[in-house]
Amino acid sequence: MLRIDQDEILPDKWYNVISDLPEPLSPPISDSNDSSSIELLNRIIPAEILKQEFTFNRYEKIPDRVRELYRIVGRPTPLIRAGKLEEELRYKGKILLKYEGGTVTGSHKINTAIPQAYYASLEGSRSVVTETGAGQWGTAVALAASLNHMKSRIFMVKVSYDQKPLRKTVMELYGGNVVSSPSQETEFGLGLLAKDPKSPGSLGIAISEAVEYALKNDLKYMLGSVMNSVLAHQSIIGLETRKQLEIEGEEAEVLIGCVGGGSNFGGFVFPFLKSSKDIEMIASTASEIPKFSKGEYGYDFLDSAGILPKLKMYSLGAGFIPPGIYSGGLRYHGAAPSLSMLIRNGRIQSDEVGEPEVINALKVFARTTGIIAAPESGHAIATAMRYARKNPAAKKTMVLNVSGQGNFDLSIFNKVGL
Amino acid sequence: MKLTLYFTLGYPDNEVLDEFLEVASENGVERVELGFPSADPRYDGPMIKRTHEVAMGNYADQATKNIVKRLNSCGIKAYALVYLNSVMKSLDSFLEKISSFGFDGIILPDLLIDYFSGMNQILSALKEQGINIIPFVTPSTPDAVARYVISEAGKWIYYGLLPSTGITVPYSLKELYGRAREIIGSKEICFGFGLRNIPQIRELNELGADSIAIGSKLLEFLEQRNTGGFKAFLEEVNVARN
Repeated sequence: MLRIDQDEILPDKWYNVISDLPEPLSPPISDSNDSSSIELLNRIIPAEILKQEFTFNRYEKIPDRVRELYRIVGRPTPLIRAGKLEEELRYKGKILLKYEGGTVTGSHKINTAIPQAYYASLEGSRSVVTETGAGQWGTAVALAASLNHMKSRIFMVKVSYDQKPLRKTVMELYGGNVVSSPSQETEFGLGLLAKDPKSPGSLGIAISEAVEYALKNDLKYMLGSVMNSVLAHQSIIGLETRKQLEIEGEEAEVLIGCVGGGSNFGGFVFPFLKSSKDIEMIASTASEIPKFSKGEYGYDFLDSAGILPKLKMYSLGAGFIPPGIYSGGLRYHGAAPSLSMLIRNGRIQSDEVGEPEVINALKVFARTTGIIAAPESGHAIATAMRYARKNPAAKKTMVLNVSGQGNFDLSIFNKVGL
Repeated sequence: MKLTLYFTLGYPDNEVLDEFLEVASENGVERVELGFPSADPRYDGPMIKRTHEVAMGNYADQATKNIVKRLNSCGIKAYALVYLNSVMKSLDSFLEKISSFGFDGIILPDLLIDYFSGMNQILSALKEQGINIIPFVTPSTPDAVARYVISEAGKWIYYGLLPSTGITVPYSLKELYGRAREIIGSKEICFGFGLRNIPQIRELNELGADSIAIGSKLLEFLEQRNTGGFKAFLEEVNVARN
């Protein structure tokens, strides 16, 4: 781990990629001939977040208070050389890990939860509402809300709610109020339960419930991924990594991360897009949710109910119910528009890994680094292992974003044994 | 600060539009943008979209020619606002047709977003017909793309403040003005697509903006056929911009 002045590593501005994209980003659109779904964002999203979402400053100053909270929750996160993993894979290059699991909530999600909660509280909100898949986002929101003296209500996708009861306890410990989704608290949830009482839920469904709940109760809503503003907040991962590499005298040649909605990956790689070197960037996702290979690139809804606007992105369809894999954070039909564009034009490659291979990768990783990574991050790890095995003599410096830790996901190993 | 007004051709009907244009020409308007009705004016907000629906049935080439001729005779420059999606099938013949109408240039709001890969071809089609492109740039236009299309342009650039008109997401005029100026440099910038009120016009004037465009705000007068209200509004705008 690097032991130097942390203030030098922690950036004072976020980076927004939009101004540096090769093509213009298509704006969000409403389904109908009015723009009510865009207008409704005004009611549920803090004004400052909306401003960041639509007006794209290349660099946005991180408020002092947010920087202070970043330090409290464990930023900057460490950059670690995984020497034993290199040996295990007989890889000739270096493998470095940016360990976002090192934050107090155990994932990168806190990076955007803090500013979103901060702006909501600054604008007078006393309570926020959101959805969560695997629970990392909900955990981050619960803490970020408490740190900003607010309450939080969290709709948790049913399959994860059932699989990960400890997650619920953690969120409650941080002050959150957790509900299984589909729930009986919204019309959308009631409708789904009437059709299928055993519905495992999905992130798209939980987003719809959270938005409906926020609208009905006049609360601020926080979105964990996909939006430009969220990816900008997450740029802190890549900006820190760049600085840490610079201090170490290293240069990244391959960047690998996992993709659910695209925020940890975008936040990690976008700050490297303008590097002079042509860095390889690989987005790893679940073969059970093959959005980049089987999804369509076009306008689709962010959420299953179609309350929020449509975005131009890769999507398996807003009605797609992903299989109940452990990597709850990857169970989402779409991906951030900026990331989708860069995958489509070939600047960023994609890889798909199935659950059995991920479980195996997590084991190797735990035994060589000591880190119990989140299953989502396991996809990135598996992709990195594939890369190392395919190119053993490559000697390229690979930086892997380990988006979270997996201490609450240990039941993933029950299926196969250790 | 110059003033540009936007009208959809054929809205609310050709007679009322004529009356409004006459009021505009008597009240110091420098430019008029005329929107060709489209079945899919996707980057306009709900209010302007409605005008396209109504105008579809009223549009006539001859009426458009007359309007442009009359505006030009009063010293007002006219610009065509055209959604490529509605003319792409027969782009060359459309451009050939309107090249004789007397427009000073054309604004294509969907060019950079939906026709980016075919942009050069479209730009050469415009050149062939001698039609000037007025680039339509927004805060989401990447800098390199904006710089390229601006280099192809004539005197002025249309800068949309929002990704779509008529929606009211928050923004800071000062920040957007600074960003637009940084990319566009010394060319004239016309700010529109999201101007809501007189204080904003005053603010842009104080920031040193070259010109502004107003569209959605005029609809309340057009709908009511309220030329008196329209005239009073223009007088207010004139005070704020001078």
